[in-house]
Amino acid sequence: MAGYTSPESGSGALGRQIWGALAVLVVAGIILTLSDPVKEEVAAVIRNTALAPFTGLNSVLRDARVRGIEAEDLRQVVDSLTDQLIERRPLDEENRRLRDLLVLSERLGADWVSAEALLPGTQGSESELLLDVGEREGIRVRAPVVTREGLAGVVRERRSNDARAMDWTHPEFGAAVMSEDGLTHGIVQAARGAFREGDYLTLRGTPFNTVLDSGTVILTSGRGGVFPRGIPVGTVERVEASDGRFQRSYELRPFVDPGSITLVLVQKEIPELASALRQDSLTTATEDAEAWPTRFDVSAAWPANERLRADERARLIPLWQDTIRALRDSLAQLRGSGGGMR
Amino acid sequence: MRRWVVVLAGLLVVLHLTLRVGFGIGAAAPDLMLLALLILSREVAIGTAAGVGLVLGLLEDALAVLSFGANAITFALVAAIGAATRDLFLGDSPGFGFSFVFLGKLSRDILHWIFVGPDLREPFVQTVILEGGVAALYIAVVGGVLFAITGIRWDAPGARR
Repeated sequence: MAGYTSPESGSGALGRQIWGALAVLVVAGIILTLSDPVKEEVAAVIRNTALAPFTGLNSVLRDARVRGIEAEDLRQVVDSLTDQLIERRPLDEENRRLRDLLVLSERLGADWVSAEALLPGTQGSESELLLDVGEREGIRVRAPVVTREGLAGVVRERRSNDARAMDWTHPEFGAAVMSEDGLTHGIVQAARGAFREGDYLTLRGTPFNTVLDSGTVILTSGRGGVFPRGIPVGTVERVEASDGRFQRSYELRPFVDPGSITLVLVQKEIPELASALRQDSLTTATEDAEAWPTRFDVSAAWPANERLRADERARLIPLWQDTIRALRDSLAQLRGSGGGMR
Repeated sequence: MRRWVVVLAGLLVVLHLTLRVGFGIGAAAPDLMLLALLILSREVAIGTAAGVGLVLGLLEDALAVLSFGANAITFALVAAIGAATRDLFLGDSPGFGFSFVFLGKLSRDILHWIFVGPDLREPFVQTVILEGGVAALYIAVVGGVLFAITGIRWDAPGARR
């Protein structure tokens, strides 16, 4: 298609166009020589009129970019905080265990020594714990191994610096126990579940004429000279079997999960206890008669409202924190309203 | 004057401002305003072309306050020269569009370098030869593609005389 055709040379139209072009160039030259303030004003007028849609679009896009960057920054902050929380969780858990052990240690007194328990995890060493305390720390063979939750196991062998213990899942584990009210006595032993984590305790030898309700707390009875009285062992789940008309067996849900045993307390050798057991009289063997209840009946170390499994205790922590927070908010509100009334 | 070519030039101007000012991508976008001016300069009378160049130059200048006016006179001159080439060259060969735009861009950069004033001038070799050469090649390729797609040619018989 044909474009524009220039007028014939020498025609008036061509001359007018050339003069017009020259006039435009003169105007452009004048604009170029304007003073700076005038130039700025003219430029501002053009920016605010003809270029306004484009500068507006630029502002919108820039704001969107900034918002995008801010959102990305915020996401990174959230990710970082999440990472920190995740990293803190094992630390929190370890802190909780240490605090628990500290509380228990204070309640049990100096007859107990803290130890780190290692689960070997090798074939043939199931149900065994390696303890980093031994004869040097004064622990004895058949000393109870406890956690904040309750009875974890018993020491089998000791050397000068370490010891080997079995947890309650060991086939040879046994303990003389009683119901919380002290009326029903029996023996607990390990029972195999469908898998290792399903192992449980059975309470055997309880009289047929007494019935333990589900949820009844079972404690060590102190009989047999191995475990002091009052260490929580587990709660009754259900009747396992009845042996004719003489005995009942119950399935117990233990307080201590063997897989989570890391920090424990081990009872040290108490000469008075051995002597008392030989003489069959605790009161005569103990020099300080006032002290023996706390040494040989440790039930006070596990108050009734604190007999919880680790997972139950962990679930309660946020509840406690929420309760404390709610109390703090209520106090703040009360203070605020009191201030307003004054 | 072909109206669709004028409309196309108008769209190029809008696209140029959208890319460079709206999206803020600067020199990464080709100098479509110059391309629009060069196309228009072949479509309208020399005086009109100079006037259009002045207006488009002022639009460019509005964003560069320190050298305000340099683009206006540059664009007016480029448009006038572009219009004058109509009587010197036919525009019916494929290579013409590419060369026309390439040289037009180089001329624009040289003229702008002159009019911008000594205070704001960057080194000539850097501004005009290196950066200007690359930019000229860039817009020439874009122009060549545009001419090929749209079929813009200037083969008016009147131009032969």
